[in-house]
Amino acid sequence: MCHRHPSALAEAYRRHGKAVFGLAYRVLRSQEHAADIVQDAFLRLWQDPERFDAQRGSLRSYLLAQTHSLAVDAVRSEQSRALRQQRWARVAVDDGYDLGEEVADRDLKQRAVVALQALTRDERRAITLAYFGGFTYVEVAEMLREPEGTIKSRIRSGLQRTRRALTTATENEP
Amino acid sequence: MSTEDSHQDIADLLSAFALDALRPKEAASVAGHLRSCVRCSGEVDEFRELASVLASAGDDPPAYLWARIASVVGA
Repeated sequence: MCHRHPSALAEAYRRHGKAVFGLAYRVLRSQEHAADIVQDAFLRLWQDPERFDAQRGSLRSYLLAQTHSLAVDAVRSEQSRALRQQRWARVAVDDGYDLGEEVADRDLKQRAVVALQALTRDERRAITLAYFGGFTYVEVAEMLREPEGTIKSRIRSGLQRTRRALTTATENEP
Repeated sequence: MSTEDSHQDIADLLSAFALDALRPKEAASVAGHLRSCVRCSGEVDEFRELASVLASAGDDPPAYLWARIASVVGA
């Protein structure tokens, strides 16, 4: 990517385009909007490849983080909070969001399922609303009628639990 | 505020920051701190890496999307 080879960008898109688009689509709920955001994220990488530092993490994680931030900015500025809260109300009452079913790649699916199963129901709800719903922890607290500090803690403990579960799963791999 | 104090205050916000779930003011103060703090910066990178596992689900992008990107970069 550093030398701006279109083929390197094509490979990055081939490997990560689906997950990146999937994340943008979940946050925005519009194919057209999601496509615009994904295009922005890939073109940013193309125009400014130095912003990705392989020492700091994977390209996948970088692209997803860029995309997420763009998608959240867009959804917050374009769609009213009331409408978004209404749309995500189901997750607030019962966490019926089966991420695992949507994962196509087998290894990735396994890791996602391990990560999700490690979470408590309350952590899963908080993370789902914040990450996929694009809500701030303050908004999540409002939706779940919990103190803000509790939601912040759940997001943190959930991610930490995910880390432990993934580490254990990796250690137990044959 | 000492550097250690900043770590304490900011550490509380890093996971929500990694998920873009802070209020804009808080996000700006964390971003400012990260510019000079390798430790917190590393934490955020790790939280993003974990979030990327959760995001591994995918919906097929529309076929025109790569064609559109490719036309800009000359692929």
